[in-house]
Amino acid sequence: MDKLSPLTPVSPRISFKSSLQHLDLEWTVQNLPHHQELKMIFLIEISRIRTSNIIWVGNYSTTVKWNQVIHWSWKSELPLECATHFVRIKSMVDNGMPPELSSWSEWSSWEEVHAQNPLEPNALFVFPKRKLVEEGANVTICSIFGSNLKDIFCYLEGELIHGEQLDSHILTFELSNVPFVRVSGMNFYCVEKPTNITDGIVLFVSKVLEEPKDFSCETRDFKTLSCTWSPGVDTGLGWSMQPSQSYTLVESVSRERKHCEHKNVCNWKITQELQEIYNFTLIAENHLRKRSVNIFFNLTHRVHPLAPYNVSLESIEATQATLRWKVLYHGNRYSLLCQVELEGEGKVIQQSNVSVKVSGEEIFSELVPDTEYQACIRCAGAGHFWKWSEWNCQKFSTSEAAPSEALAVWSTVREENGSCIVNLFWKPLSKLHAKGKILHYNIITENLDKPHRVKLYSASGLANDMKLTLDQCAYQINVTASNSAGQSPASVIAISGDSGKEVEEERIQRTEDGFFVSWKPLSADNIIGYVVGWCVRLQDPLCDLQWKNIGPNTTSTVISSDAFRPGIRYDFRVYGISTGRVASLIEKRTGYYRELTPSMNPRVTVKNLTSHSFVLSWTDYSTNDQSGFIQGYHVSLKSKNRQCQPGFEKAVCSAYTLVQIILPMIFSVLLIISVCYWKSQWVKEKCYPEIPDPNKSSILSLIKSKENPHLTIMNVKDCIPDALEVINKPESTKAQVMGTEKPFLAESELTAYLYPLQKEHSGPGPWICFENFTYNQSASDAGLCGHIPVPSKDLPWQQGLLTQPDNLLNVLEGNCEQPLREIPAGEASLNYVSQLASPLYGDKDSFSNNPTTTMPEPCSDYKMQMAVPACLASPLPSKESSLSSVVLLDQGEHYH
Amino acid sequence: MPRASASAARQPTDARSAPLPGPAKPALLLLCCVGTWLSALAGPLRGPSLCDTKTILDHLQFEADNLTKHYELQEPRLPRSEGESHWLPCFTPGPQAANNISVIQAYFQKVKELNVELSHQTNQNQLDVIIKRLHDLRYEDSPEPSISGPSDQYFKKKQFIQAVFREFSKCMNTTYKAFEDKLKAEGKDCARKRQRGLQ
Repeated sequence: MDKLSPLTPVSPRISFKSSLQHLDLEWTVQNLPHHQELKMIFLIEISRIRTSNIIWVGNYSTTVKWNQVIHWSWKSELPLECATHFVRIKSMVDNGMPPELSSWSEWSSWEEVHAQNPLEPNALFVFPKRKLVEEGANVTICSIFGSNLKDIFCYLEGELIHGEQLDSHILTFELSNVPFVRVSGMNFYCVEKPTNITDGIVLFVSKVLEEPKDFSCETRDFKTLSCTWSPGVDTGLGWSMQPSQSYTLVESVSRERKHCEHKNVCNWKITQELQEIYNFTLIAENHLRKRSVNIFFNLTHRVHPLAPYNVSLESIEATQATLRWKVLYHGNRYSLLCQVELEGEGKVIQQSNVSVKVSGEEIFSELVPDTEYQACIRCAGAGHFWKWSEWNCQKFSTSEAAPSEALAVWSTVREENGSCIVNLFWKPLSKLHAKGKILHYNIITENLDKPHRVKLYSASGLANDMKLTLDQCAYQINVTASNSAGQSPASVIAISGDSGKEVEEERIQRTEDGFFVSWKPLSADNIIGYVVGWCVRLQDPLCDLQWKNIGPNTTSTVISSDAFRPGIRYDFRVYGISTGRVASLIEKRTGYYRELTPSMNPRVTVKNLTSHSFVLSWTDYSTNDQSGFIQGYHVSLKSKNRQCQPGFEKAVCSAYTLVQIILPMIFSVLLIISVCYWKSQWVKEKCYPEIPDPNKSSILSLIKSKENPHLTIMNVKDCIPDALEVINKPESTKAQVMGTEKPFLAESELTAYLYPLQKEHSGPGPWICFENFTYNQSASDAGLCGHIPVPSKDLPWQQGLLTQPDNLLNVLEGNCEQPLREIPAGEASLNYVSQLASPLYGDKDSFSNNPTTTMPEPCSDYKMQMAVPACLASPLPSKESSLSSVVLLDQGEHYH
Repeated sequence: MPRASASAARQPTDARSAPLPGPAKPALLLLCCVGTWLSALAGPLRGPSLCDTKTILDHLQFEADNLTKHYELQEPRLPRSEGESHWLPCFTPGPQAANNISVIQAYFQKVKELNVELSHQTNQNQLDVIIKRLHDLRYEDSPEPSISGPSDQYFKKKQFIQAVFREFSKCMNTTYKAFEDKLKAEGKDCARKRQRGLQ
């Protein structure tokens, strides 16, 4: 120190603030003259860990007095606890000369700063212990550890991060752009493995303070200014690291300030000496930042008036009312513009603006009597619009006026026991014309024959019809409606005893628009118009009668109504109205809005039931009550146990005519069937005489006894013969056949015999077909099918075909034993014998009775043929030539 | 127990209504003294029934588990503090548990304070409920010890809160299970009893 040159900084003292990571230096300058100020420059050097490791060098200029302690502060990025810091200073008088020409003092000695005590060998620390930064800031964290600890792992929010080794016991971590995670801060900790010695810090990251938005001030009463704004995000953090941002209002004209208690509103008291101009600054502030916004305004431009008060409706009449109200007085120089609206039936119907200082008035005219309205009023500054006040609304109703329109009146008239029954109808007046609540209707009847006879009737205000019984039918009727204010103009109708001409009713169809009704015009001279009235058919006279007035020059109209319903029949009547207001019927129409299927069936009674006929009747089924025009009736007849097939036994009949036709027909058919059955034998003989069945021929038994393998039965279905000739044989041969030693095959045997043939008819085998000579050969050559004929035992005209059994055997054993293809042309000549295989005769019956032959023979319905070799054939007796026939067969021809 | 002591205390009163012959008097006096002594012993003892204890433990187990999970969500992956498993005592329900329960209550009071500092008001009500339930388990009032709590470091505070929740949850799991086993061994069926009570 002794060697220090004059003006050298001496006794630098260093302290630190861990929370701010500040190094605070204090020093003095020796040898300064008394009462003299010198401008000096100080050069400061800061080293870390060791003096040679200079991390910062900087100048500090200030004016120094004698004996003055100079303060200077330096902020470290690295937490001061993590490393020892060294500081030294030298100085120079700032005499305006360039530094190189001035001389620096000597350096002060190095001053050492230890923010952390020497570490234990097993100690581990992480710094800074208390750190508050804004979102997006860069932060340096360090970890120091004792000599025993080696493997340090550090985690930010549980994620391992790698740091920089500052020296053997210091690790630093540069965190850049740190995010806000939670109000309780981010967690950073280091662990030594394997000892699990741990230390950590909480890094408090605040959200960035936002500038207040929508800052605005207004007054409602010229006493208080209310300033509001949107505060933005809350920057408050836990453990009091940072409370939520605060707001301060500063008014620069009055130089007053106010700390705001709420985060989005602040009230400012207006001084008595009405200050007009205001310049407000709103300052938002937290530990890290300040933000401010400013507004400048004239107080009269920021008036948001309170809603008008004492709003009242006065002098309310049928068509007029007066609205009065008051506003808060703001002095003579300030007036309000008030907007008045009149609403009726939910719509604004009148609107006006009135300038007001204290009170206002507005007269509503052209109001509708007996109507509810709502008058609403709001106000705003007249000179400069800022905001409307709230609405203040009052409801009121106008008083009633006399009904303005005559009633629409109609009537129906009928004579009963010499009196005239008049059903009088009127339509209620619309609200517009009623002008109040109709209390009652007045009906005055005036006898046209005796004008002085006037009678008054009264009906309730809710009624819309009245039944009058008059002694005759020549009357004039006046109808008026009354409310509390008066009567409506009278409606006049006249009735006469004349029932008018008979008019035929016609049907009409509904069109898309409704019922189109037209009529022939009456003479225009005495017609003042037409009336079309309608009602649901067949209802009582007091039905919901509707009518429509038509001008005198119109001859058609479309009647449409929401009341029309499908399936309901409506009657329409067209009347001409004479100058004397007498109605005369000119047209009748009836129709359905839409026809529906009848909803109920007739109740049918059965009469005159006999074995073959009966009568159905449904007399109480009214066609007028149905949901459509009845066009006819469907009658179905079925047996008791059967379902009636749709479209099968149904007959369409007109009303009251039916079954008498069907029952006799059935009877006739049954009769014909009975006769046919009774005469079936005769018919059979005449129409389809029986043909002997070759399968039942006794020859089959002979064949069997000889066991000739070449013999087969002809399968007719495989043959296509051109013609058949049936030859009868005299009955004398029958005995010979019957007397043969070989009996005929029994039915069962025959069946057993035939069955394989039926099954094997399509397979190869020694089939034989007979047709004519040429065909015979070709058929046999082709291997086509054939049967050895089996004559029927019961048919004598067929049995005549056969010769003596011996002859037959000879034939079979001799020439006939050979296959036909081997038969010489002369021997193979055959006669075709028609055999009608009737199901009524022969063995066919036995087939059907035998379950083993359930498969029908495909050709069984064709006429079967028996082929007999010429050697066996006897000459045809001329006597029996009538039994012989030539039958042309066709494959497709069936015989039933 | 309180009922038994009351009947014992009434007996001498009844005896005084009629004069008794010679040797009976000292015997009655002795009986009177013994009864008074017994009632004095039994008097301060109070506590829930076994089934009520089970219900309280049931609730505590659920709430402790909830607190732990919630905190671990709030402060995820916070390391365990050194020796945290020894901070919080556990207990076995009964008169002897009073001291340990009061220590646990003190820890929860500390957590409440830290929560207020942290501006974490969300689970304050839950902490109050737990403290109340613990109180219901105590057979007698014992002074609540003061807990020094963590150092001024925020990280340690967080670790402290987490450790209290975690250790308490562990304790409740163990205690509840042991208590349930004990009830089973004694053949106590609290569910049936509760049903009967409802009927």
